[in-house]
Amino acid sequence: MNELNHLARVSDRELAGRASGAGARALLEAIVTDEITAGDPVPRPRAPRRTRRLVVGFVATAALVAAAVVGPSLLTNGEGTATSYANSAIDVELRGDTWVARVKDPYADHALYAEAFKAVGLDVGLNLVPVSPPRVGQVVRMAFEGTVGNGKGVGGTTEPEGCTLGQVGCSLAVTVDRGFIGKGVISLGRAAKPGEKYQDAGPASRKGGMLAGYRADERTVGEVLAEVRRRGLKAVFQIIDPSPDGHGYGVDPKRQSAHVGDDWIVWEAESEEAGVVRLLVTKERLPKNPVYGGHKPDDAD
Amino acid sequence: MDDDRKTRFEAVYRQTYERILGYAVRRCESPEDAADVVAETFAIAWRRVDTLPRGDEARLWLYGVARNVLANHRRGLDRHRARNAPLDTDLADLYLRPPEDGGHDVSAIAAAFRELSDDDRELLTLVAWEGLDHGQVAKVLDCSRNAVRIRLHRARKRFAKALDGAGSTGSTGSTGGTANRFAVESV
Repeated sequence: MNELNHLARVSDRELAGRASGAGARALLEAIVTDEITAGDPVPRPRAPRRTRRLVVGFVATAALVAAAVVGPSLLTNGEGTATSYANSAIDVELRGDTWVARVKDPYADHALYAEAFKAVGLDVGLNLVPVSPPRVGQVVRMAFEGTVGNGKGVGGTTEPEGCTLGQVGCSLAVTVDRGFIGKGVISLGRAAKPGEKYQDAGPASRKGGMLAGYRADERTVGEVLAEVRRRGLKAVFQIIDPSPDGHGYGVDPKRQSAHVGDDWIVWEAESEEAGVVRLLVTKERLPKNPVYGGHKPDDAD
Repeated sequence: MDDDRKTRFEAVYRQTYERILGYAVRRCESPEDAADVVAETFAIAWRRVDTLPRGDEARLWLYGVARNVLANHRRGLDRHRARNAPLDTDLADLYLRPPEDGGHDVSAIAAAFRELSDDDRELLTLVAWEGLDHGQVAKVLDCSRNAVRIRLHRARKRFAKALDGAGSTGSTGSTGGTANRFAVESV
């Protein structure tokens, strides 16, 4: 049954050390300090209303930075305008001249995010989109209407600022300048679920990306596939049609089933989904990289 | 007395946390669900600390508890929405990694595996993932060693049959998007 090992998301060996990590310690603390006494009888078959309460209790106890919020809460500045708002998905509060929106549940209904911004007088929609790991926490798209400053003053961050995502108490957040007017839609990168396609078309070579430290541009498909294989990844192809002037390209969905040979040319490798890169290819070598309108700049990542 | 219990529970917790975490992460589709299963399993263990077995038996006993917790989760009995636990984020990275391939057709194996009953899957994975022998599986499932031997034999046969079936249908690439899926198989 060795085949089954390939389906295991993680092996116990890879979890070594987690027992002394912050998550494990927070849970232990929450359990042994909870109202529930050791040795309390457990109704059988398991009907643990109290256990459920305990788990919820753990959530609240351990989430020190996050006050447990049951329903939406609202604070006003005395002039009828809310300066903070919270629901189960997001907290928004004014800090100095910046609105800070902390995402508590990156998989929540987007309407809950909009509701919070609206409550503080902002017309901002927030979409959480699955992205490759290096883009998590970054604003991947913004669209504005009637705003000033070209969307400046809107950004993605982590809360508390500078914390490392994946660590206890660290959340995605969006900042919006207090003076923001008009309407905006922000797409913020969140971690993708298994098998979920990334919605950021970023090079896989960027730091933390699947092909970090490796430039695929202008190499042959054969060369790049060798590297892809070496890293235990898979690849899909996107056959691109360069614009006649060499700047930019199109993609013809009907031509995507063509067989791509090892001698075709790769112009960029992007992140498709976890473990899969997408190679942008043409059959012929071109004088200019159509993705960049010339050689790929060194700082393009 | 309570201090004794606490010391004992903490010792078991430290010894078994990673194992129970592994059990949950391998079986849950999201870090939130895995965090719930781990939290609830140990919450139950704390309440039943007086009956918590000693030594490695504790780990087997906890697998049994985790199994029930997971089953209740799957039936939707326990689902809750208080989802901002630090443990969720602590586990999130485990869900970001690409599945290991090693030249195997993982999707075909996964498809064959999905065809099996919950009972077959649990038996096979307790052996493959938790590395348990027949006697240990018997303790987790609270049945006889002989029953485990027979059920495991049957489960393996069914899995092998499902694998054969999956191999003959061949299709493994996902569909959709404009990318050329041919490459998924060729790489």
